[in-house]
Amino acid sequence: MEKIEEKKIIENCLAGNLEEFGKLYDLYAERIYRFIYFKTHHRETAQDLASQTFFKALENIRNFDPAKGLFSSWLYRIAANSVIDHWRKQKKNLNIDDIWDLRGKGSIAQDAENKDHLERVRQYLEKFSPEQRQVVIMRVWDELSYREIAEILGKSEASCKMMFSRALSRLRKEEILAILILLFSFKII
Amino acid sequence: MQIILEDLYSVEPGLRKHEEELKKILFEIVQLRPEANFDENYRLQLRRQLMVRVSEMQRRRASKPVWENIFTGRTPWIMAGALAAVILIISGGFLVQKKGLVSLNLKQEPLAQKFEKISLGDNAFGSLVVGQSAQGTLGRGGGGGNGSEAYGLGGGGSASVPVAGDAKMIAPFYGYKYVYKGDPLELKDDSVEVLRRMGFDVAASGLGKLLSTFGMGMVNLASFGSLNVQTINFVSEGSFGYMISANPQEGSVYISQNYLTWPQPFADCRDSACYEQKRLRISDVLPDEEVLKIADEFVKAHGLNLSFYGPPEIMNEWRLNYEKTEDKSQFYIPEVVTALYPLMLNGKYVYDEGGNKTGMSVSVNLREKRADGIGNITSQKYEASNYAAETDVSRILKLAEHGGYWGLYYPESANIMEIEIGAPTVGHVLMSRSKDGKNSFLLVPSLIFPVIGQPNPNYYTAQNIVVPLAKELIEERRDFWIMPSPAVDAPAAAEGISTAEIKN
Repeated sequence: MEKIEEKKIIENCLAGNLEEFGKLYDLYAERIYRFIYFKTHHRETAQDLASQTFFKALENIRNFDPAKGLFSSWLYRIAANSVIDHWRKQKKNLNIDDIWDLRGKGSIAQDAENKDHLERVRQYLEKFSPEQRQVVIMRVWDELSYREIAEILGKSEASCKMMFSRALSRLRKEEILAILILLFSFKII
Repeated sequence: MQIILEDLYSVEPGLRKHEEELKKILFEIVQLRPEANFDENYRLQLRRQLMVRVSEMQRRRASKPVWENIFTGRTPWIMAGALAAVILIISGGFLVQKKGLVSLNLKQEPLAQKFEKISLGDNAFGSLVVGQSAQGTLGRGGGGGNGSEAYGLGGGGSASVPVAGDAKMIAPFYGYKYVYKGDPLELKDDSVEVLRRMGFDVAASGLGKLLSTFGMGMVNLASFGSLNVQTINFVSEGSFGYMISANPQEGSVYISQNYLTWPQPFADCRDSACYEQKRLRISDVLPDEEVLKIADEFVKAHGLNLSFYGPPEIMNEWRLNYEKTEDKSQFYIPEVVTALYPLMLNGKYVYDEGGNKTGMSVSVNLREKRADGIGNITSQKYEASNYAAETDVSRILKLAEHGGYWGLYYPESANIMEIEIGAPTVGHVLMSRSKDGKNSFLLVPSLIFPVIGQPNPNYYTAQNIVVPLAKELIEERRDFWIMPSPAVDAPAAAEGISTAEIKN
């Protein structure tokens, strides 16, 4: 969908034509679901949290100010908060924002078919700081722009670019590539 | 990938000489991405729920203060963007193959729906509380007429969930305290009968030859064993066609315009001047009598059984805001006006959680002077189960004081408005629940307290406060009675503090 068309849809929603929200949903439903799934690894949880995200967005669409940022960032922010709330409820005594923080901190529901794969991914992502990990996942898996990442995380674009750059530089320097190839080889067996 | 790399080089130009290694790293990161299969049925189901919620929100717009709702939206029109297990083209003729589609001649039979109730044991529906599933779902919106979330009930200063730094200031902000002015209450019954709407099991085998044809040589549906129809869409072609979406499991049908066959007045607009020129004016609005006539004719033409509903009412809340607006030339006139046929049970109206009558809604397109949809056509077949009733009058009144089941009370707020409520009647409130991806719709006996003294009709127009009589639901709301004033800006969220913490 062209950006100008999305802008019009948002304007219509803000003007009270809430039925236009369906078009925004069509545009973002899968992306938001995947964003949440990457943080929860459980289909039903991701579906529930995605539902919450869109209902919250619909209820609060009139609070969205296009002058203050992108709609996509706003929506992703709601999704991110929903995930945080979910983990805080699940693991009240632990400081967890997403599933990658959970290593060794208790059992959780996970999709069985992805479990082994996700464990290998977790081992890899452990090399990053939590902030770097967020930026890498959002840039490469979620394919978000730096502007979107910056608005979601409340940081500057330059800062997000730097974090991503340092994450990749670190990988290269530590010669993780060999381990990645090995991991990838296991995955395809 | 090249875009990502170029961004990297803009930060650290020295990385360019390692491009091949970086490409391999990025490739591997992409390969490690988990499979997140997005279920199409879920996507469509959620869309439908959202559109039902849109319909509900449009109807409740009038309870918001005028400054928050200067361009009041359209009165509800129903959009069923539902799931498509099978898509049929309805036309005249026999069951034939035509261009790969199936035409169906449906025999007109009189509709025989009647109210039915099947009694089950006590607590047969499990917990009545929202979010009882492991993941704490919301899932409201199905079945129509459900109360709003706990945002802004009672008008004034909607308690929006703060989101990053984008939450706008909402002012003025009021807390509402509801003062009971009726006679002393007495609660004698220790149990209440909760009803749960039943759907219809439609075995796919019942569609027989039609489904075997649907496979069109691509898939053998019989190989999947026993199948049930979950949702089904019908589309009528020709000008001003309709989409009929049925969910047998939930017991609901929605009719909406087949938008491809209706004129879309704004489709060619590329700027606001075009919208301005084409939008409706107050002179285009049909009188209520004419809207009712169009709605009635449409309902009768399509054989709907009106014996479950009270006399239709036009949802004219938008007119209240129009009258309050100073520059009426800037007021957005809705394209659609809704006639609500309020659902009745035992001679009494059924309400939503926000205290509004709920039922079947017929939307009338003002521009085309036609009905363009019907929402919330629902099964009147129910299961019944007894649940423990609240017998402590003080707890009932305490919840009523806070605005009822979804009310909020802000003791910290500097602006508290007292609103008087009168002696309640006993009625049913429609509540939707979602668990494990399935929606259910309950009719819960409740006390309906009428609002009898409104301090300022410009800011508050809710008609009733509802308090369910099921004890479990009273217990659920105890934790939500006292809420901190919501953040009007949310820097905390931008710094990674969750909304749960803000609320708590």
